[in-house]
Amino acid sequence: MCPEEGILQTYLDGELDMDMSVRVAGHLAGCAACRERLRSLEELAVSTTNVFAPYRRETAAMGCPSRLPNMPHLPYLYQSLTKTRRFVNMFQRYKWFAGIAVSVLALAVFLSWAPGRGLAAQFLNIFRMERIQVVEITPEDMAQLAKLLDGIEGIDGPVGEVDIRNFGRVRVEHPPDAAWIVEADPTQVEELSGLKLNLPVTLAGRDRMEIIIEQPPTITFTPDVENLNSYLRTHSKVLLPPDLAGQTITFNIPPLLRAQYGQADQGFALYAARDLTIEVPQDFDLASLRQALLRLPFLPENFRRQLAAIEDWRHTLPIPEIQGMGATEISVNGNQGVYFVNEFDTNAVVLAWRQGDSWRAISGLPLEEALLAAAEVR
Amino acid sequence: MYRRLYYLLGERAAAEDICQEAFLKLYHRPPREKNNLSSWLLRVAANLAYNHLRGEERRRRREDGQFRTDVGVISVEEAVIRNQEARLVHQCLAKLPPRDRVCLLLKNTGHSYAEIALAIEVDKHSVGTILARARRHFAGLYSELEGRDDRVSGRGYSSDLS
Repeated sequence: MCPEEGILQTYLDGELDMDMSVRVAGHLAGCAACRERLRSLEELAVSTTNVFAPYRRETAAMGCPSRLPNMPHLPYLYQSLTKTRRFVNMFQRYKWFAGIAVSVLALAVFLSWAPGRGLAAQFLNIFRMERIQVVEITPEDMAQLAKLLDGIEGIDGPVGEVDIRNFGRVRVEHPPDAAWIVEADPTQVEELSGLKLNLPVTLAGRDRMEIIIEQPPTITFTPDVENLNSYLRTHSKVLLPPDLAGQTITFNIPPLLRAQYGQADQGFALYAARDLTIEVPQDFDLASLRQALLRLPFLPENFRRQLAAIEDWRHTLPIPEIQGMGATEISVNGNQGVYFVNEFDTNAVVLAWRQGDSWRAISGLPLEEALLAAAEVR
Repeated sequence: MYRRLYYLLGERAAAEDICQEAFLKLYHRPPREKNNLSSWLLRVAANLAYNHLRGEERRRRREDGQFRTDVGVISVEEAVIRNQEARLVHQCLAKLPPRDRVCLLLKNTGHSYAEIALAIEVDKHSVGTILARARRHFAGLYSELEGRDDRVSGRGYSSDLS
């Protein structure tokens, strides 16, 4: 069952509690219909807020009547108060959008990692995420990380000593608006997404309604070696080699294909994407960076241990399993796969698996049906 | 605070009355917590405004809409609002149930769900539902009135574009 409108609205406003937000974000990652509902709620919010602007201006411009005590300091106080609050709202929202982004990213990503790219490979180390590993994260861990996020996003500057902004620069580059999400017909799929896949006209007894291709952002991370080291020095003995300074890691997220089968409320979606790749300069010492980052004292211990235990970490994408998502590894068409139980609808799962050099996922079908459908879209 | 109340109520006389009432409340039953008086006053005022609107609504229902100004007739209140869009918003707000109206207006000035819940006397967990419904209700009224207004005054999207 999908969350009711009030819950989505509360989520949109950043007013849901942590636990619930995580659950809603998890649901949204796997439910196209709810993402659409959320989008229309957001549109409604923007349009009504815009319409109100002239009314606010007019009422604010109205002078105080003479029979009232004029207390000029009150409105000022109030203004600064609301301004601050709006800031907080924005940050809260940003945080939960980051939550959605992470879930979608996880999906897009564990839908991902492709063969090296010839020429580029000569200049760059390209890591392809060919495996996935479910990493458990407890509500306590989430709370600890959330506290950290609060620290970063606190309006009065960072709370406590940790300020992730000092650890490096993250840049997110979006494709131009018009190219961001396009509806494609089956003949354009390969050109737009680089995917070769069979998209049957009907699947699991439902008709194909539309094919959407989303061009994701490129994310780059440039660690601030000096700051990281001065922080690490007080907490551990492992420091970063100074020649990492100024070097950049690029996360290439592949285009994400979504094919909708059946009507939004009874249908399901098929996702496909090439592999996600991480590019680092040839002489970039990723192992040292990983070592150092894993030692950051604010990481929840349980989380750290699991991350550190991933052996083939260069090619493994950790998928955080948030409580209630119920991720289970499974073999699909003889390949590695994983499925999540949908919190709001125990009848439908999100099933993701690797096929050839790309990742696929089906969301919104019971497990048995999803497995049968998966065999058809090899 | 008067401006805030005028914003919530859309009527100057009522805004003045409730402003007085809030200060009286402060005088007779001041809050224990003294260091955030302005926000206390605004909270009290928002709640008084809500109760006032509800009283008005009841009265209007009793009078069976006999004296209700019909759409298209510009009330005295609206005459002082010079901006066309602001006047439309004022008209739409007048048609909203008080709870939806106050919820929408408070949210638009950046109030938290907890504060909105206090003002409109509901559980914090219902604010999301009320807000979404109120917005949709308002948007429906607005586009309806906007269409009518365009026809009446001959001012449509085309003039906005030029």
